[in-house]
Amino acid sequence: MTGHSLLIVEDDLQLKRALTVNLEARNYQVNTAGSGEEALKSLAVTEPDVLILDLGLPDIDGVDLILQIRQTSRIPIIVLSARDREIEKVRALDAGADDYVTKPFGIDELLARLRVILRRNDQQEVPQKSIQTADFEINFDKLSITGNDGQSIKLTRIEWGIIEFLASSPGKLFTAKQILTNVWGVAYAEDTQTLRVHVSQLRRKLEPEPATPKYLITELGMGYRLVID
Amino acid sequence: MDRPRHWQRLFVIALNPAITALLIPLRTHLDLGSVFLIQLVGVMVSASLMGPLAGAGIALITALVTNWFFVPPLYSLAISSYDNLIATLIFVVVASASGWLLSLMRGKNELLLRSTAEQQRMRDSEDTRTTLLASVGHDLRTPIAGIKATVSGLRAGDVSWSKAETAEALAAIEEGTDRLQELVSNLLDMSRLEAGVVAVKFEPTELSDPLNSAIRLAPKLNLRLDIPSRLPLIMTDAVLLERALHNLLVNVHTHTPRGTLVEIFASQSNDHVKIDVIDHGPGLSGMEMQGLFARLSSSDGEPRRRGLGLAIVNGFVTSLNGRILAATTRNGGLTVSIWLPKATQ
Repeated sequence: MTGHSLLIVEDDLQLKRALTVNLEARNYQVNTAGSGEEALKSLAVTEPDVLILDLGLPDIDGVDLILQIRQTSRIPIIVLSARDREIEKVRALDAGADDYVTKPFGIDELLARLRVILRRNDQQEVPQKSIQTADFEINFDKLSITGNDGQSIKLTRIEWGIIEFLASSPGKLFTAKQILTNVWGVAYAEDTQTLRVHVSQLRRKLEPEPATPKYLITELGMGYRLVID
Repeated sequence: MDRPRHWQRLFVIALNPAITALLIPLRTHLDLGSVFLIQLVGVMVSASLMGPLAGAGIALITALVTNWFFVPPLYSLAISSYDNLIATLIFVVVASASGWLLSLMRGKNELLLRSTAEQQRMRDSEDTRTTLLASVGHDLRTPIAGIKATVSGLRAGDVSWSKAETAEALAAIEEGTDRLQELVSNLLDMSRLEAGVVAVKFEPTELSDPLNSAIRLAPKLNLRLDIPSRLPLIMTDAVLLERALHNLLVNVHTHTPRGTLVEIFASQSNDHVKIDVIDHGPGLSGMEMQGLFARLSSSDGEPRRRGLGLAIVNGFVTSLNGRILAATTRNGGLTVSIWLPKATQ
């Protein structure tokens, strides 16, 4: 059904085999590499639709590999990493990875992440004018948000900046550093407390129940994503 | 070395003038060498209390004062003989050096005391770890036994399984691996916390962030939430708190019948935010409630499953400078309350 091509970079044979079998059964075209060097060689020949990258490779630091790939390519990258390596995951995301899945994971979780990334890739061909949710509509032309009662929701310049940035890729996880750099500027990249305050205000304006948000989701220790139902 | 306390400063300021005042009436009976030696005692005491730098300063001031009152010509800073000049200079050098040595020794002494306390703490945590491991052995082996039995059964060629039977077996295997995964994560977290490998990262945090994340990752519960929208921030490590709350929810899920109502309330007191996780399940007997967080196994050595999960929650909450208490819910069930410090703003 999908026919999309994937490159899996994973040095553990058992996991590599399990992923290959499962993804091929769902009609993905799967190539594999067991090391960073093999991955770079394979990418030089053909570029797949998505790269699935285990951060713990024997030869190259996974984050360095992402930085290297990002110099020439915008291929979506999903990283696989152990639960206790939060800092490594944030570094990978900052380096340009698109999403992460924590090991051990169920195959359905990986499939869901793949679907989100592929859908986003297809949609990016046409820039969107607006995003509609059950509770509000984000209008990029008018730089405004309208509640489902038709009332315009007043946002500050910073709040609009955050929403606009997150909505540029709905579902994508952005690190605090990426949001701060994009909305405030490089000098504010570490100011996570300021970001938290503004996200909290945004939730009060947009979420039907700010204490249990369903649009502006915090990924603890990582960052935020805008989830559109 | 610790910063000098208030009384130490007052004492030091008073000490040398007092010695000088006592010596002035005696100066006709005393040799200059004796005067310097008596002053030296005062300087050494001061230096040992105030540290080497202050000691050197006090030595210098004392030398000047002694010069003024005791070294001829009196009431002038001039020194008439080479003997007296040498005596004064040697006094300054010896007083500063001995002060410095004294304060150094005091520092060493404190280090020694501290390392003894450290050793005691390590012995204590060793004890907890041993008890924990003993209990954990059971919890690790149970899912492994289940997985091994199911997989070998599926692979044995003598029976052909129906589709439904296979599906059930596979679900059991996945459940078993999930349980193992939870347990291994917790053990790793706990041992890393105890070993001090993970620094607890305290930051002003909204309770709803770790709470929602814990709920999202926990198995489905019949939940009712009541979190005030203007709850003050807490000073905590969001990732660790999420682990604590997640474990608590998993514990509730495992030990209550499916569909049991679970309520989560948050409230605030003077300097704490309190989280109540109230289940309306069967609860625990009075015996089981005793030392629920502290004791990991019952007297007959059988691990108390609910206790193990809660011991882990307790470990996390303690490292977050929080407090945890369990009580019986009115009309049955268990209520676990967690207090966490507010962020001061």
